[in-house]
Amino acid sequence: MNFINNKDKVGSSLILLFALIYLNASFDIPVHQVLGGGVMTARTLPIYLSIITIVVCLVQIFLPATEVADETISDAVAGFQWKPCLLLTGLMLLYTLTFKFLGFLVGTFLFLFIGFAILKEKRFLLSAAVAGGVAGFMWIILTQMFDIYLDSGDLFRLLVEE
Amino acid sequence: MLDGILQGLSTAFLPINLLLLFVGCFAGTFIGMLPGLGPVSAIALMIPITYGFDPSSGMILMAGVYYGAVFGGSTSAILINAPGVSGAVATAFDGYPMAQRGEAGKALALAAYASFTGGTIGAIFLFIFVPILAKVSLSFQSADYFALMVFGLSAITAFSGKGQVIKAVLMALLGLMLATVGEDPSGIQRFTFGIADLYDGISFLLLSMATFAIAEALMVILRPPQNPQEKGSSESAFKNLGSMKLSRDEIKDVAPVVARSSVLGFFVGILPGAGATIASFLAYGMERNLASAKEKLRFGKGSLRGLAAPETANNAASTGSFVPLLTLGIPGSATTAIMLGALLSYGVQPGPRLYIDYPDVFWSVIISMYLGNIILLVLNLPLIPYISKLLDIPRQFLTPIILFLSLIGVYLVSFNTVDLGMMVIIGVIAVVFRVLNFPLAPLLLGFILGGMLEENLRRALLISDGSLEFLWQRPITATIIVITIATLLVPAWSALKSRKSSSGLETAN
Repeated sequence: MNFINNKDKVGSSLILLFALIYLNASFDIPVHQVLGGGVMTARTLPIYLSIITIVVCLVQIFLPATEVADETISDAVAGFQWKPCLLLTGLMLLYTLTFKFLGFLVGTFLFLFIGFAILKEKRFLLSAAVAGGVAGFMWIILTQMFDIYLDSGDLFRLLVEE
Repeated sequence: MLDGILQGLSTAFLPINLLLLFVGCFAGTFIGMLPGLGPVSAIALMIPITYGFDPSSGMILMAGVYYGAVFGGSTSAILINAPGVSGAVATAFDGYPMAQRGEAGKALALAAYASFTGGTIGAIFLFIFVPILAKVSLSFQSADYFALMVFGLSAITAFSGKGQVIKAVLMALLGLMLATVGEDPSGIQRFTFGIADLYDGISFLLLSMATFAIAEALMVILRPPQNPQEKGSSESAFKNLGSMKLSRDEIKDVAPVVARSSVLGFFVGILPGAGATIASFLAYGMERNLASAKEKLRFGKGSLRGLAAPETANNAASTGSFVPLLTLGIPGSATTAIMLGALLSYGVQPGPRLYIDYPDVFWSVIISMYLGNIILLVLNLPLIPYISKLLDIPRQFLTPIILFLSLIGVYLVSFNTVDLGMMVIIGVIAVVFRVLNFPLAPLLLGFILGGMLEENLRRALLISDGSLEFLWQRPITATIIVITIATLLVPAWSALKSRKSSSGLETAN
């Protein structure tokens, strides 16, 4: 079986990479001035954890992949709908980045409306109604029932001030 | 103890708590029905809502959601052969064939009665064992706790299934490493890289929402429904639920099955890492082995025994999984890990002291679990035909709403949009690990146990003056360590054995 097509080997390699970076960063942890010579410093556990992880990763990587019939990465991702998934991930990041500017109501409405469209909902009027309904309902519940402050956003303030 | 029970009863029966329990059961049933969303996601979605609640009310809501989700998972397994939770996979073996031959109503009723009985027997055992175990665990010292946490982590890896052991160990280690981000017990910053948002470490809620709710929603988008016939068959099952009554003979036939599966399920549930899924498969296997040759043939084709056994066992195991959480403060499953995180956020430290310091929380949770079972039976069962209509909500509407609820849930706790960005990134990484078939529950358990593990190890080392002798000085510690080593070695040995035999086969071929 091809190494880069084996789920176990690739996953373990990713964790190995993380463990190596983590081990390197562990040596940068300052040791307490007073308790520096103590039995357990702030570095102790991270260093041991990374060493154990590296060893286990190497065991997994170098053990022979015997389950030939096991699903490969290319088999596992066959038929995956990457485009809507990537678009929704991007949309979530955009939602977090524009949240302060757009505010809860506008930001949430747009997030849901565009999200429905990404998942191929063509009934835009219904989409707008559902997105508006969910955003409005949540806003009422959170601000009126739970008394939680939700920022109306810089955009709203700009428009109101003008 | 009686005072505590009375206190718990009065708390559990407060109108607001009864309402929360009902809402929790209802919401949990709905979420549990949705394939891809299980009790973990359901409870994770509830955490932000319960932050303003007192600990008892919060835990009562979550207990309701938990049981509701387990019940909902079985409903979708029976109606559309799509188990909402892994613990309901075995339910589909015989539940779905029953629905196909027009006995969906009977299958749902039997599942509800079996769950109720499993939950009842589990709750009785909980009443008996939890106070005893809590008293015993009062004598535990930090060395014992450290050993117990290592055992908890090793057990979840050992129970992770064939070919998954090393991967589960790695994920648990990854969780432990992530737990070290932020301030250490002596006040030193670790792995924060000068980013102020990391000073308090990674939020447990953020990690659980990212790895379960967000990752599951993204996986649903990535992997479109595999069986296009599902919708058609679900529609026919909804329309033709059939009678919900069981005959006297049928009850007589399944009664011993339910009794056996309850006991088995509860004790399997106590084991860290085993949980409802393993309990349901074990019960199913046990009943098939015990059945007569004639009855054995019915298994997988709509056998009442085949449906009752896993349904009883998964509910009893769900109850059993609360034992290590309530008595030792150690979660045995991803679900109880989330509940532990919630309890800690309320300022309540689960463990042997919970029984003494917070009797109202302790007993009200146990009583609410039982009330939850009653609500599921009395209220949810008649409502199933209506609740199942919610399954018809188009996925293109549901998925973005789930993503929004997950994001806003985390935002409402921290009011920090950086957390949301971090959550999306962790969610994407979780999707990668899911695709690579690396289990995420050990990651969450490692993360939640990481802080406690380090604290107890530090304390034990200080007491023993830096010597590792604490690992075998006390009989309790030594026993747990021996069990841990055995738990790790047995699956590792069998994995190596199967590797050898399969490589031998390859050579022969």
